[in-house]
Amino acid sequence: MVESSDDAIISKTLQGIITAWNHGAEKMFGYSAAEAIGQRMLMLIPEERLDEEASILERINRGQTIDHFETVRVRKDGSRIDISATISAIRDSNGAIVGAAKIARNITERRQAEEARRESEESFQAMANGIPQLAWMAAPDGGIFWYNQRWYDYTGTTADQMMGWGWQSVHDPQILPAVMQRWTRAIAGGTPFEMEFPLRGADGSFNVFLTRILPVKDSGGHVVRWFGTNTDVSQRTRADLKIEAQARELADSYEALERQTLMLQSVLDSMTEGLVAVDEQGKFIIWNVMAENLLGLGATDLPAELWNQHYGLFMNDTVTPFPTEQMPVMRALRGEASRTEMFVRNPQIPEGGWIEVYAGPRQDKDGVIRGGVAAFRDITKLKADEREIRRLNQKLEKRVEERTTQLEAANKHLAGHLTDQIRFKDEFLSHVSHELRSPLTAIKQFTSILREGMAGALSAEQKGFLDIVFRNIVQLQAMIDDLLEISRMESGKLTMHPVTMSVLDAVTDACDTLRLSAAAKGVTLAWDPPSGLPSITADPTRLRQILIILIDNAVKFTPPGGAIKIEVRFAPDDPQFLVVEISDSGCGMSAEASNKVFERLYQVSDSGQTRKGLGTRLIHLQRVGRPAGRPNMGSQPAAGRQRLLLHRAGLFPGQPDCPAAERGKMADGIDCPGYREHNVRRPPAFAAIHGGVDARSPRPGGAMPHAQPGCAVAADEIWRRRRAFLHRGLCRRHRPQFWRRGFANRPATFPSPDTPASPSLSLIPC
Amino acid sequence: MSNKKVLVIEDDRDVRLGYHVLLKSSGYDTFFAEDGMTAVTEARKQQPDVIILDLGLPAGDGFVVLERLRANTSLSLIPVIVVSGRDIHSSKERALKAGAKAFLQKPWDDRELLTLVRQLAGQSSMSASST
Repeated sequence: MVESSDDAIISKTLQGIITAWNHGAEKMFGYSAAEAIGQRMLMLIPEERLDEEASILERINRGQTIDHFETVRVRKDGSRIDISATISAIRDSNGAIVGAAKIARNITERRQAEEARRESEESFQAMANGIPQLAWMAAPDGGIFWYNQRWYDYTGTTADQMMGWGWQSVHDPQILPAVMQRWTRAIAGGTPFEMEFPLRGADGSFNVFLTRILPVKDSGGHVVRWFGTNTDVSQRTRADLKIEAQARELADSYEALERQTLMLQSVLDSMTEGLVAVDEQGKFIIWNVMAENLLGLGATDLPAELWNQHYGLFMNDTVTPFPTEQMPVMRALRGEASRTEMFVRNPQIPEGGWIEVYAGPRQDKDGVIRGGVAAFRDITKLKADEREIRRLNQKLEKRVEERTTQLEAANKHLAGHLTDQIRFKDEFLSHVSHELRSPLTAIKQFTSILREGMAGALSAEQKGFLDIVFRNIVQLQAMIDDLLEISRMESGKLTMHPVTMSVLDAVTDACDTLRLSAAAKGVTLAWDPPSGLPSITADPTRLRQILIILIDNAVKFTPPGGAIKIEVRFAPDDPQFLVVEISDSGCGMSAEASNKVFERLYQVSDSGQTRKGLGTRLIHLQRVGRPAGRPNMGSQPAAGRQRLLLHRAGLFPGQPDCPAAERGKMADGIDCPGYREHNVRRPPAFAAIHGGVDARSPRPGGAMPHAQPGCAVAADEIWRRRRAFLHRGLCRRHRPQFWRRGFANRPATFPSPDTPASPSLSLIPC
Repeated sequence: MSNKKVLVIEDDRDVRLGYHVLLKSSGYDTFFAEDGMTAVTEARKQQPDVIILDLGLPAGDGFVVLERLRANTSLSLIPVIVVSGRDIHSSKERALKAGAKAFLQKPWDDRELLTLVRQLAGQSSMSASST
């Protein structure tokens, strides 16, 4: 076996003397066994390796085995041979080392092959190091085992750091997953791949590399190695990127432009208005669908002079061709904005139609006119509607006119009828009151005759009965007087004759008149004429009437045992006036009643009182003073207080510069002779107001009503309407007929917020 | 001394009777005319001391009668009391202007009437005696 082995098997002593030499050794070294045995092993060792022997023997001597010791030996012919030797100790039967056995295998071929490969590798690596790219090689599983120097130079790493998968540390962490994905897919499929990704340089900055990886396969098609290069493309990439960006921008712009164009087109086409645009030369550059629909034709290249003919554009009269220079777009080109109505009629629109055109210039950012735009819409229906509305309006106006005429005629008729009715009523009242007087005269005569005993003596009872009859006759007579007075007022026959007079005399007279009836009722009438008061201006008859009314009123509503006090003084807040105040201890007037007394024909029911007379006509002159809200009249009836305001003589709230012809006349020409001497137009009117002293004023502490413009107006109106009159039988509570014609629609106003609850009636001549 | 004579010109029979009773009881002789036509004739015939004239008369308004009385020399001085159921405001002034001495609104007060008659009858006799 030893002899047949190709391996050289040699034994030697610890001194290095060859003791055995097989055939293989013979073939390997060229020495025959005979030649070799007994020779020193040194003969095989090259000069430069002579110390190997001593080392080997020393190790064997220590009992060690030397495995696969590759070395070079010299053959007999002097050539060198690469061997791989395994040397082990030879022991005697006692175990003592007595020599060494060496098995040597010729590894020259292998060595040569290895050398060749090494050289090849080296030359490859030298080449790989020489190329400008980074290069590397990886095992089939992807673990990189070699990088070229440029790799290390660029990345600033070491081989240890890079071995295996260390390369990941120089990748951009953001991109690494994509790289890994591609790389693992390539490994799995054994396919080449190419990818650009950044790698971090030694300075920490990233450059983009184009990486190409190719599999190296054996004859069986198995990948035995991967070879990769990384080409720095950062410079190129930057330029590329710029170009790419520009290209992309361009593409985007183009797309955007296209989109906008599309959008514009769709907008233009979906518009319900026609839209056309022209450039500076008047050439149409936009002409939307609706423009074509409305004009029946598309854009034309014809010169503007022919447009009206081409499109059939006419003026409002529908027959005059629309002037070229007035065409909206032509005006737009001149910088004018315009609104135009046109009539369009052409073979496509034979029936014709109306369009309304809005046009204006199209300017660039410097304000230079670059063309014109015109938008237009169909107003045919609108025009028709307008015509219809006009027609209907005319019709309506005509009807209104007709009806107005009819109404006026009816009004006139009605007014005439009304006047007749009023006249009839006044005449009727006058007639009735007159006619009533005759039988009443007879009744009164004979009642008097009977009462006076002219027809024979009467029993006391008979006399008492006749007294009742007589009293009622007197009452009836008063009612008839009232009726007549009303008819006089209504027919405007009331006149006033103001003179300068003494108010004290008038009051004294009135008191004297009523003193008896007051005494009969058990009511005290206290009148103490003051001194130092000026004269007044008044109509003595009317003043007497009014004073009697007021005092009589107080007597009637003051229970037996009560007292009435009459005072005259300057009006506290206006020396133009004197005020006559009649206070009584009667029940006064409830707030409710005081608010109602001015309603026409209002009567306060009071079963405790005796009805007497037709009633009192109090014309409520609530417009004396400006309306200032309702007064706080209180809810409980208070003691009565009535006031009469009288003008001082010579002080007139009139129009002193009145023309002579107008003097003494009222606004409506009613004569008032007593006022002529005062050169004023407006005679005094009696205004009745209700409430306390302050009721005269439009507001607390305010001026007297006559001093107010509103009051003057009111007085005129009062007079004009014949409302300022009081006759007799004035009652505050139970049987008044207060007339308020002409004021019914105005709120009752008692501007007396500060006055204590003291409802009363005041009369103001103003 | 004969009674004073009062001529009452009044169309209402009842009222005339009333005058009669009243005046007679006060010692006056009363004569009557029922309308404007007979009024002046009666006045001329009776030459009364006082005439009581109602304005509302048939066949001649009271104002016409008054005018004719004033126009007649023998009658113009006889005091006339005008009575009327008409509107006192319009009638009174006119009546007084036309020469009436007094104006009484119907229905008058008997005492007032008698006072007036007494006063005017006295005047009349005085003026008559003075002439």
